[in-house]
Amino acid sequence: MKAERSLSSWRASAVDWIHNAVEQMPDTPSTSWHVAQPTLDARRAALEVLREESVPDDLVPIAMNVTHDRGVLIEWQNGDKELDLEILADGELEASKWRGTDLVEELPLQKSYWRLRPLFEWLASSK
Amino acid sequence: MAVTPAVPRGQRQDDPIGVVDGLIVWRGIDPLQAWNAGNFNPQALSTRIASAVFNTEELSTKASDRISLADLRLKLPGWKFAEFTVGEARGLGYVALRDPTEPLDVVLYSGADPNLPPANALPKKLSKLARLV
Repeated sequence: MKAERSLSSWRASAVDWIHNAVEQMPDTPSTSWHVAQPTLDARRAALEVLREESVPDDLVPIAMNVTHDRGVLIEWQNGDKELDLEILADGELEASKWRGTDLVEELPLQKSYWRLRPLFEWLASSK
Repeated sequence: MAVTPAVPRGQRQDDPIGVVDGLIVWRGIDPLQAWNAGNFNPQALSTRIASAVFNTEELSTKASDRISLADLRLKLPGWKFAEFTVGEARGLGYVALRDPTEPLDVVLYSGADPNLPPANALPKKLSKLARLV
């Protein structure tokens, strides 16, 4: 059995936010500016990403937001490079790589978390 | 989309006469929407706006010729707002028109296809252009 590893402080905070803070969100938003609670599938997948070992501890996200489509968007930045992981309402993942506002690559991940590692290697590299 | 759209698909056409380029609009940012990344990452500037704020098929905003920012702050205490001009949004590829169901609002859609959610690049660009107020 795989031992539960201890989470770094940002991960623990982000996991706690997914567990607790999103509970305060309504199921049905009162206006188009309000967000609805992410779906259970999206929350489960977000927790898996946040606990995923290929997500490096030393690259702290610059943002994690609930989306207007009941998913979760996590954004990382390194210089002018950005990596976005969007967890959709059905729990599937889409990754997009950016340089500034130019889209470099967009790819669905289909819960293939092992494919996260090269994304973070790209983000961390100086190229 | 969870909220009923203000303008049905097929009727979303840019209105440059009714909504002039210089018009300032505001998009409210739900304070529950975001994890506080700034506690752990100094790069997460307090002035940064997440693209998730704008990533929706129908982007509703309040128009500065119909309501003031001060009144918005009274209505939504504790909220922050993303500010941009309609011309800035049009320059990125949005179309804009008055919301026929809410006189205070201007709604924006992707000009590439106003009947579909925008490609991710559009909200990303708007998030970098808009100012947090």
